[in-house]
Amino acid sequence: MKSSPLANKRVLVVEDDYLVAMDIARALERAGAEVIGPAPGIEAALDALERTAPDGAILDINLGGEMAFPVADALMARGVPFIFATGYDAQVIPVRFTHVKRCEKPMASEQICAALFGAGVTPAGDQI
Amino acid sequence: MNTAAWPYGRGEMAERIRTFDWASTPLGSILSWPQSLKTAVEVMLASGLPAAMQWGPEAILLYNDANAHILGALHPAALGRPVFDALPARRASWEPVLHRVMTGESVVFAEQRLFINEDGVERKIWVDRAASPIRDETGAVVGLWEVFINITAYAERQRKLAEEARRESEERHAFLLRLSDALRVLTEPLAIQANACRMAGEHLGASRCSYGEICGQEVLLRSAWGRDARPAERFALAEFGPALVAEFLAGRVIVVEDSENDPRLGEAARKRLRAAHIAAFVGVALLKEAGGGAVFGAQSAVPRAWTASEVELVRDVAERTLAAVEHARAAAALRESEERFRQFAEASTDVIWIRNAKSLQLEYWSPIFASGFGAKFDRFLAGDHLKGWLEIVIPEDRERVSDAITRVRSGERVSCEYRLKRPCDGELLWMRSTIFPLLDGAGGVQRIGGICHDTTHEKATAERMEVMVAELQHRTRNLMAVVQSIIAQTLAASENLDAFKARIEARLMALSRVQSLLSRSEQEPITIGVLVRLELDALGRNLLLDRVEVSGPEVRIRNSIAQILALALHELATNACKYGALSAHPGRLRITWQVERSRGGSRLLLRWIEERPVCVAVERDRRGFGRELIERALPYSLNAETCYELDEAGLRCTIALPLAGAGPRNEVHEILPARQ
Repeated sequence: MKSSPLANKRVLVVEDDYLVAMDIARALERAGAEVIGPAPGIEAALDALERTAPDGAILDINLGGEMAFPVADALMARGVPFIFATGYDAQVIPVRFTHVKRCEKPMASEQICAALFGAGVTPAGDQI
Repeated sequence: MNTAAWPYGRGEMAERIRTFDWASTPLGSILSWPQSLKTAVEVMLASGLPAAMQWGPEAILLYNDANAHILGALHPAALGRPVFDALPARRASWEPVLHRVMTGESVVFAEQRLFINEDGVERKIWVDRAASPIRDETGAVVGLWEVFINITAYAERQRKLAEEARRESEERHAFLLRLSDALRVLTEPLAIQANACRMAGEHLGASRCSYGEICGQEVLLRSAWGRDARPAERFALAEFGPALVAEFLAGRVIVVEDSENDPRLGEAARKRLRAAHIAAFVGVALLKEAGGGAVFGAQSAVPRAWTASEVELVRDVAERTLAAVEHARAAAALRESEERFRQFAEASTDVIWIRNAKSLQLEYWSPIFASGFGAKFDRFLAGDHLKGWLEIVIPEDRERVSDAITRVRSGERVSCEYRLKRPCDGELLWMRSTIFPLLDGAGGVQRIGGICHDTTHEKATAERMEVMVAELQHRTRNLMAVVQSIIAQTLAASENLDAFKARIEARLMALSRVQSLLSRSEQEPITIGVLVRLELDALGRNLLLDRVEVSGPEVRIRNSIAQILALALHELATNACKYGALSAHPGRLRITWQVERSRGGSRLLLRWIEERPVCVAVERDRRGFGRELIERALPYSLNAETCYELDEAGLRCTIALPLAGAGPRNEVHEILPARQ
């Protein structure tokens, strides 16, 4: 656990599909992270963001038909690093998020960790 | 009275001169006349031609018998008097002549008109006239000698000939005008040729007239009029012998007055002409630079001397007929070309238009232009055509359209897309126009043409496709994530690979069933009833189904929630089959649903009730995947309220799904009319 870059980091998971959300949550937990959520929709995600201060976030773009960009805006406003986990191609993502890393579904848990780490979650130790 | 014997002779004038009282004139007594005067008088009196003299500074007039005739009523009073006293009317024209002669010059006048009085009748005659000086022994000019030659008969014949020529020429021109008028209204080359042959033949009084075309070395007669006329006859030019062929090809009119005696014709040509009953003809070939040409001729069955005017007429008719035939052919080609364009443009579903490059007024538009825009089409034809058009283009796109027109006017070819509001119904249409310059002979832009294609439908299709592709990607990738998750969870819960295999297959089948429902959902909306029955049918135990009761209204559910709901129903059904109401222990399964309306909105309430007469131990599996889906996944993903109660009496599971209005995640909506 000490070797994981995500150890003791609080990661907000926003994903409308329960099974996928659980998978991501489990992967994060295995990597030593503390999962916030998962949140199935925009409201729940913004709520969680209010109540806790996550160190990073994984954001599904399509939340049951709604685009998750308001959550992305809130995350950017707070300076919380995040990645998109999505089935969509890059072209549906607004220009202001083009710098945000994108993981295409389905993802292996290692991928998520690497992407999030790359997205700016500081490793909790010297070891990598 | 002096009764001189001189001058001798018995003529009237000899007698008058002999007996005239010359002493009372400046000439003095006849006996004192110098020899030069006497000699001149003798020559004059002896002349058979009219002659006269004017002698001395006073120009005393003397004349002979023939001249007395010309003087008419002025004779005999004119004799012995100064010329201008005797003939005062001649002074103006004659005085300069007299002066010239008296200073030594000879003067000749040709074809002069004179009026004479003959037995009291005024008559006009034509004369040639010469005036010359008479000198005395010292060489001094002492008189004028004048002689006339009556050329009336010759002059009148010439005048008659000229008159005839003029009349012929007038007739020829009148005929050519009639011919042109007659040919102008004809559009068929054959009709033009036939008319020309008939009119020329009748006008010339020829036996026959024919018009043909030169094809290589042959002449093919196209049309003929008259006796023995045989159109469509063909003959070789060479038959007429090299001399005539050379003239023919040089474009000269060939005139044969008597074919039997014309040295230019060989025996072969004569034979042929004889067979065709031709004794004389006039023919001409009009050759085109590009090769080929026309031949026109008039023929006579008897030898005939063709007049110059007739020969000229044959050439004129040939030229006019050829011009009319070519004009008719060009007009026919133009009509055909226009017809071809019209058919093409009218068949096109795209609007085809042509504008004047300067004024931008429409010169052509295909009918679909008018029919596509309905009764309000007329507005484009009033005033400024382009302005009228731009007015229906939406304001944002107007500049693009007028910019395109400007570029095309300067010679560019442009393709542009724009939107317009259709005038007849205000519908917004997408148009794609290809606009191009049409050049004049000098390479300037004379017109601009356009092909305008309605891309509204294509645009909509492309947009729909884009959405569909994005949706498909999303669904496929999400599905893979779900599959990944199910595999992981099934694997974790399976004691061995056989158990894993059985479970994972059933779950993937359930996923696959709902995928096929989703792919057909455009045509068949997914309802809760369809989902329930699909899972029950998949159990493949139809015999057991008399233990199952299913009832509820048709309620449509949104695609995005169908998958998780189907998975949950699959787990319930599988468990019922393995351990519950549909297992070897007989029981009953009741699945009912209804729509509940409460203060918070409507929701779909689904009940899954299994009753078992025999108590079966609560199994491990019922705490597994199915229960997790119902107790956790449905509340999470669909915001559902669920209840899962399992005891000795059976299973009571309720799922309450918020209906439309409760948020996008929970869209169970639209209650359809019940199906039996």
